[in-house]
Amino acid sequence: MMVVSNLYAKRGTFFLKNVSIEAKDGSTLMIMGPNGCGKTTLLECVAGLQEIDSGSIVIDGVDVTNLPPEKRRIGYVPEDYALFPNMTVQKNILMAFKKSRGMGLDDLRRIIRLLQIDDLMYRRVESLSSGQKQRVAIARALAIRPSVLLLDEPCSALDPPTREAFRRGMGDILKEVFREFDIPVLYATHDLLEATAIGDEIALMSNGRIEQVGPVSEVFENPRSRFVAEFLGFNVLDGKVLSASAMGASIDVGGVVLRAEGLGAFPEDVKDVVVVIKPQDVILSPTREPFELKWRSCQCNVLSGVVKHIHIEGSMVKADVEVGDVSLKSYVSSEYLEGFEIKPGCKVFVHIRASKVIVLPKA
Amino acid sequence: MRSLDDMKVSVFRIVLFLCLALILAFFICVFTSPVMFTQPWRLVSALLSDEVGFALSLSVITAACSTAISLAIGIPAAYALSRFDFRGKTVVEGLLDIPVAVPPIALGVMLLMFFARNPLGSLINERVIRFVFEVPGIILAQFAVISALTIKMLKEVFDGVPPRYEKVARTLGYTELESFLYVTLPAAKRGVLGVTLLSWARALGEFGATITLAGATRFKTETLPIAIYLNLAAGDLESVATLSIIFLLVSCVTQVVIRKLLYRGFAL
Repeated sequence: MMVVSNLYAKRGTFFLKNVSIEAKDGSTLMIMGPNGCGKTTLLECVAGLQEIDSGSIVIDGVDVTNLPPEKRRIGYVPEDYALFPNMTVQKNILMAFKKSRGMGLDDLRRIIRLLQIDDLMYRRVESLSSGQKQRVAIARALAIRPSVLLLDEPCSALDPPTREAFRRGMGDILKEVFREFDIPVLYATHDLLEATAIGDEIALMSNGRIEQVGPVSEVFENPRSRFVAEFLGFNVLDGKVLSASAMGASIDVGGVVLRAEGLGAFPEDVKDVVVVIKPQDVILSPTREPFELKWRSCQCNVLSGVVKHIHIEGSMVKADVEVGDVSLKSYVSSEYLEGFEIKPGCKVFVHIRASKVIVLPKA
Repeated sequence: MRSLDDMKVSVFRIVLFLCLALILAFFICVFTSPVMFTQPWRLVSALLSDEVGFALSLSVITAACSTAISLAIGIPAAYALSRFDFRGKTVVEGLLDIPVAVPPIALGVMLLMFFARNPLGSLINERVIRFVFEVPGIILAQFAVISALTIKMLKEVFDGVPPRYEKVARTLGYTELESFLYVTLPAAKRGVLGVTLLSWARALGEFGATITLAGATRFKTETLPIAIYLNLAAGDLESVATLSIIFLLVSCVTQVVIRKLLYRGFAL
């Protein structure tokens, strides 16, 4: 268990501001955000490689805030793996093993087997592929029997076609790691797919701040700020509250009136709001009636729109639909679309359930 | 249009290679000229002669000493310049540019003045080590000429080793010093060796500062360049030519070794 509290740090002109995160044993906390949001700086603070101004880092109940990196026992895999040059894989791993405490040769062999690098031991690191380097770097980090594992964009050096396979591979590796070591993993990435495929929890960062932390599904279900919603690729619209009651609210979004199920804990006088709708919740239909029965009983916004663009990604069809002056992204499964056809320029009805309209206060 | 463009390119390329050929021809003419003043057998006998033997060994040893001292001070200093930002860093780097630009003879004069008038300098010269007109003066003169250059080149070498290696080493349990010794230095090995050879070669050829501080006494402070100077002053052109050829050969060997080191890269 690792707890970072109220961390402030400065790196050149960049600041980490009031970062607090908790990483549980045996789970992966994804540190997510666009490039330059402070992911690497945060990991380096945890590793002790970056001076902090205030705040604390506690690992398994021990305050390591003022310990030098060599005393923290934190496994660190930087973005390009940083395998020591001019050395074999074996030498790289032994460099770590030499400094480990409470690790036997059998433990080391298990790590090597776990990462499937048995055959690479006598290879020079320069001759390895990116994927092999990645596994060797993780093995090296684990060879000190760390109390926390930090992975900084471990898949960014891989080519896109191999990335997906590695993403899956990474998930498997981490499962194995958790079986062997009951430690928290901090995993920095800017890739949404990676975050959902691998992470248990997610901490979204922007400009040196944590925007939202929580289990992956919760963050995806309830984005708490405009930044988070935009980063997750949701429809984010500025709106004005027209009327609000216990039954729900009417919100004017660029001339289109949307019903939402409620404003939750909003103060009454708030008028300017941000409306967030997930693309999967923007349902297209050729008629005013929802295309699938299960949606018929809900309170639903039915709007008429025109399809602007269609792109197909795997089994997902992504459509941009214009409703009045508002452009909405809609993700529809191709299976669903077998029932009717949509093309750019064709008129459709857009169904958005009132319960799926998320309303956030404007910052 | 197209042929005109092609023409331009080819004329341009001809000029490029003409310049290259010109400089090559120039140096071939220069390097082969001493051969006309001596015979091959003279080279062998010169190498076996007491004077050349003394000058060559004195040069090799003093250059090795000054290079070793430059490295001992230069490696930590260059590492500090490469890894840390501190107030006045640009001033320090600027100061290190000066010894590289100042003529060695001026450096020698300043050293001589330091030992002659500066109370600290004369105390050192009188009580600790005698530098003026003595062998230690040769080493000091060479050090004065090469040290700043050594540090500048070593800084480049360390700049080429990403600090990430050290960061990872720190997390693995290595202290700052251990990370430097076990990770950075091995990664910079080839580069450091290259700098060592270049510094040594520069020290070997050092003349201006050496003759000013250590003087030109036969069989005492007579390094190879000073031997050339003494023989030239005495009008013994054959010896001068022979010594020049010896120098040329030493440089060739050094260059070949450096090339070998550098061709395999700084091993990053």
